[in-house]
Amino acid sequence: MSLTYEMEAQGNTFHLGLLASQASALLNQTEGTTLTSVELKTIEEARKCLRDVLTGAQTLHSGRSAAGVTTNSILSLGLAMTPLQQAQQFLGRDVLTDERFISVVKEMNSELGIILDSGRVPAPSQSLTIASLFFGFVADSLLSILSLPHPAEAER
Amino acid sequence: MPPSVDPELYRLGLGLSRRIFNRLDDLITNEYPTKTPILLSQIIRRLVTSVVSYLQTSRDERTSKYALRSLKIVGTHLKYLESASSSRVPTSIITPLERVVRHAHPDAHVMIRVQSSYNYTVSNIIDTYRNLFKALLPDFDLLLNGVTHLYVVGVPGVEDGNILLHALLAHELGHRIADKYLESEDQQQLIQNIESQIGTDLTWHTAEFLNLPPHFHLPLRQRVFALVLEARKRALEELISDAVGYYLVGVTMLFAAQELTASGVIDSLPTEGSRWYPPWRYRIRSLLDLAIGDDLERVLKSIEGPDPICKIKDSALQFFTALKTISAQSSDITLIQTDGIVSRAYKDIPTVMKAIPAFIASELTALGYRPDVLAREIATLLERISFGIPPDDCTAGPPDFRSALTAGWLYRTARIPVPYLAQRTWNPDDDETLNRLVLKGIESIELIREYRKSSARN
Repeated sequence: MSLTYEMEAQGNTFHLGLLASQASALLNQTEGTTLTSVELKTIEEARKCLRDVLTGAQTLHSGRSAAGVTTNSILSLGLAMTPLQQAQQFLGRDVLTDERFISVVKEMNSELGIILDSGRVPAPSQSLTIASLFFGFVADSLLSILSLPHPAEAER
Repeated sequence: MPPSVDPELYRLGLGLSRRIFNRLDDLITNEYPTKTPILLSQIIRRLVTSVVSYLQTSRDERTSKYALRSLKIVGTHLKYLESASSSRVPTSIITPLERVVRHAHPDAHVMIRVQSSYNYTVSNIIDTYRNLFKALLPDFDLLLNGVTHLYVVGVPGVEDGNILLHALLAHELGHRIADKYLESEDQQQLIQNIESQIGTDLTWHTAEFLNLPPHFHLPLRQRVFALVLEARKRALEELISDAVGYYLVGVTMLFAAQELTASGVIDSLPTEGSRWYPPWRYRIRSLLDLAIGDDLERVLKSIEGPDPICKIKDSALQFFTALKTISAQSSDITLIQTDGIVSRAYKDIPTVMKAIPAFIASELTALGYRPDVLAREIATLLERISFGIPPDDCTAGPPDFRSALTAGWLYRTARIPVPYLAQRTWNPDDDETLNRLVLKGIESIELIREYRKSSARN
């Protein structure tokens, strides 16, 4: 009966892609760069997305609802799986098992926590590189989706 | 000022912005029924200007591409202004719509437009702009100039004069209530329930599940989980919106839904390809349950009046009986039970729907259209239509505009001429006349209402 949700879905995809793009760029900055309050908010929001992915993965892996899990956690996990495997492959690593997937997301989550605590870009590390690549791949995949003809745009 | 990382992106954005501004300059010369389209044009202009400034100074190519994409998306929104001019939109429904929307958001603006697709839509475009620009433009809130809710309401262009069908907008408004209900659900409990439905062994979905390499398990479980969640969410979005529609416009919602069903498949299985729309029979049953709960059949039986009122009453009761027959057949439920994803998605829907009327009443309080109002006003309005005059007056003054809509639908069901002449049979022109009368009736009811409000103020 309606296309009411189409425009909102497009906005949500854009918002998530833009966040991922901004987070990737921030994580790519030189060690020691001080982040502004607006940039730290971006990191905080990106970390929230990672926590969603983590609770989604933990819930589906264990078969029990992880604390704080939401329907969005399950959907975020769906968006995150391919980009994280892409980041792994980009670095020449093996395909992630469920357990390894969860631990990589935990490591990225911790890395973002360190940034939020210090307010600066930390020294280069594997987790930081993976996180930057991961958010970049998320941003690219969502921008590709946004570049396709969208029902909300096609409709006149 | 540091240069943009890719001057080409800035150049593309600048060119696009100029074309948007040129188009806006043309569009603001149109005549619109309210000030809302001009307000939207001003917001678009400010947002576009700000994105171009962003592109000029951005140092990240990927994010600049997003900024450029945002301009392309906003450029498509000009179609809303193109199709909102006075000559194109059914202006009589603006005031009643604004009243409903402002119940939730007193400062909301409403803009009606016609669209070529056969759909009704209601979207708060400010939410979309928040998603597009909030993280890109630090001064985003200032650019809105205090506007927090601007609803773009789309009606199918081919039906712009079909006032009876516009009752479906009540369903679209219901999506906001459906969203609110879904947000209020206990998420952890919901996930646990779905988890227990899905189980650990997914052979019911993928026969080869147990032979898959372990690293395929998580993606498959996520996919199955997401499908069940989406099918459930989409079902509840439509069913709750139907219930809101019924709450706002009463039996008219049943008539309009039944008319839409006529060109669709009544027992179509919800699928990803069909955006998980619930089967029409399921929806009609759900709506009928609400009407039965209101004892609507008794209200229809109580309609009394001279010829052709009895004819209209009989046909309305026949319509009600036909819906009961549709509802009594369970072919939709059988279909749902044969599908692993959908059967799991629909498991708790009957329980959820029992709680929905109370939720809607608490959200929309005084906006409900109750059967006692229908019972009080309907006979007089039917009589007026039968004389060929708009249904805009009752003994006690102007009626509820929804009674005028209901009178239109009830009259239509009887397939009798307008004005009524016992010796003449119905012809298609009568439906046109009926629509015009109801349209005029609603315009007149709203005018009197506004006049009384303004008199009371003065």
